Amino acid sequence: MHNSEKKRIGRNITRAGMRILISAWLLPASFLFATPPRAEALTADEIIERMEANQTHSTAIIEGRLVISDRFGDRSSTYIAHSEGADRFLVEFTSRAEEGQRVLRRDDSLYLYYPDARETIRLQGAALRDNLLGSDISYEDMTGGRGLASDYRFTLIGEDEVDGYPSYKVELVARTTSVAYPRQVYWVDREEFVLRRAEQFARSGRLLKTVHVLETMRRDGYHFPSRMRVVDETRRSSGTEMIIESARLGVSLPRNIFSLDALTW
Amino acid sequence: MRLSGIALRNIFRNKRRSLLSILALAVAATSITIFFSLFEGIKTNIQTNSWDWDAGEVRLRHAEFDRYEYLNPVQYVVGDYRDLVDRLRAHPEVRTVSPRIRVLGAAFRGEQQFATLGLGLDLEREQEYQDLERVIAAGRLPRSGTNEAILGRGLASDLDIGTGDIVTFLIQTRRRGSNAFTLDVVGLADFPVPQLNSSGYILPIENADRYMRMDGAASEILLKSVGGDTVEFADGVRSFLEESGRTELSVVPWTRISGGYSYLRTAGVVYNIVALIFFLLASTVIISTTMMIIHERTREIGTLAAMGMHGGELVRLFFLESAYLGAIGSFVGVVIGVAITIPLSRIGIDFGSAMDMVEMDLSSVLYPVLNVRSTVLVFFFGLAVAMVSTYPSARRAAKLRPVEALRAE
Repeated sequence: MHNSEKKRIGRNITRAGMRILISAWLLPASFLFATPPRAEALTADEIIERMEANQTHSTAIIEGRLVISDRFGDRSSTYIAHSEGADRFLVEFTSRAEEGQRVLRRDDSLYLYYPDARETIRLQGAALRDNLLGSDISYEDMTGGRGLASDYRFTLIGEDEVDGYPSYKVELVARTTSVAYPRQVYWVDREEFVLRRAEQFARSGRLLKTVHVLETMRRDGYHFPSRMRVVDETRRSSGTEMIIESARLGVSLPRNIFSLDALTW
Repeated sequence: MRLSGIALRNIFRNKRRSLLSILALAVAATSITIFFSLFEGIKTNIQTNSWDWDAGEVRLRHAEFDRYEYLNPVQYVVGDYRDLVDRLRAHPEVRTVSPRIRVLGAAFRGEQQFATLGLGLDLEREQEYQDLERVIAAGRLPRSGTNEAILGRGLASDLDIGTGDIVTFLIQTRRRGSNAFTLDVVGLADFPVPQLNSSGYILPIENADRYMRMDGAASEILLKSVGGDTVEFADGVRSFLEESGRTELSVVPWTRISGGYSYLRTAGVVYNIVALIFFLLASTVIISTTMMIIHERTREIGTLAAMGMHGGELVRLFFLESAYLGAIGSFVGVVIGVAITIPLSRIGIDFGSAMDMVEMDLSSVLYPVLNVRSTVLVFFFGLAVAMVSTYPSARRAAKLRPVEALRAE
């Protein structure tokens, strides 16, 4: 395969639909429409654009935890995430069992660092479909960040209510075959333009994942999901909650924090 | 003249026909002797591989792990295994003990991902359990307490690495989280089990404990008995664990774990049927030969009957002829079979990559094993087949009326 073609496919994969799941690690900092007035007769493109704007920012430091549930019980992992823009972040796990493990996203690539390993692992191809810490979130879900519009066509298919919040129901149909979810349905809050619910489907129409926003958070004029439950519908009795415990936006980050050298500090 | 003398003389009257009967039986006996030896070799191989690399003679695991094995519930472990191993070693029925940590994970080469299975072994004590040296194809075994590993040759080839290189594995920990670690490759192994060759590696159990966050627990403990019945041994170990208060552990004999053992049970019946078919084919030659003999010797049979030989004596005569042919054919066949099997049992038969597709503990090189009981059985079965095959024709000869027989052309 030609290099440019590989890059294009790689970029398309990284723009895959589940990027909304990591909005918690990619919070907005330079957003002008955090609580916009109610928009009348918005198009689907405008709704998604506003929702994405609510999740795009210059820099952020987030502390939170993942609560992973399955038939054997719950387990919790804490993390601190540094992010810059929509496509660079570094997540470091701080809980005892995963202490020091890091995930770096830069240049459309995902790197894993483990204290016991002498090399970093660059996840590519099928490895991206593996789950982060055995949760319902795949590494592929942590890619993306360049805007849904390049990978999907949007159609407003109605309005609905999610947990009492009036929401736009928008269908996303993939423009390319290289995305993780060929079809998605988003429920976007009509007032706040924050995601309330999402469903992701396979090409066959099978439901693969659902995302349910349980709580939202307001910081510095931004309004974003702060507690989400992600369920991989292909697994039995599982679910993962992503919880943000603190968020600092627009902060200055250490130099070279997103470099490969810094990853192995 | 005694019947036995007449029968012996008759064999040499048509040497080519007698030779054909002997040859048919010899080919069948040779094939079946080799066939049974190979089957015996497969049985021995599956048992050895299963005991050494998979199930032990008896395997101890957390009962919940066995229950949810399809979900790979790595959190269910054999806690405080060192103490348990010491007490099991003191048990009079236990010959050797092998605690193990199974490290499921993956290794990467570019965009390719390879599923891997690490076996964390107590490298000092494992030598009591099995001869690890025999799997070394290059380099040496890892040392206890080091970041060293020996890789299956297939896995090393997939990852394009060799002795002196390093390799990083991404694994699932006891908490069902992830971890990765890097090991120095100090050797390559020719594991007798194809799946281990393509995905397996051995590392010191102390390091597997650290990487897997096992906190002094093992995934399983394999046991071998001093001898005797495996199921009774398992029962004895179970009682011992109950007395020790370790009721969370399940004790399972290899006969319930090994896919190869189930295969053997089915294959044993199939192989016996195949052996029967071989002899049935050989018997058709004997039947047709005897029928030809009786047809050619009808006037002679009439003369013998006219001289006072009874029907029963005629039947015995033909039986004796067949018995001589059967004994010679079976003996020659068994001797040839044994002569072929003995060198094969030393050099082995290499089935190569064909065995990679077999999902059980079967090596690609198999060593036939001569079983005296089945070899003797082949001889007597060949003899019996030869005699039984003669019966219909002999009965027909015995019923011939002397006057009609003497008129025959």
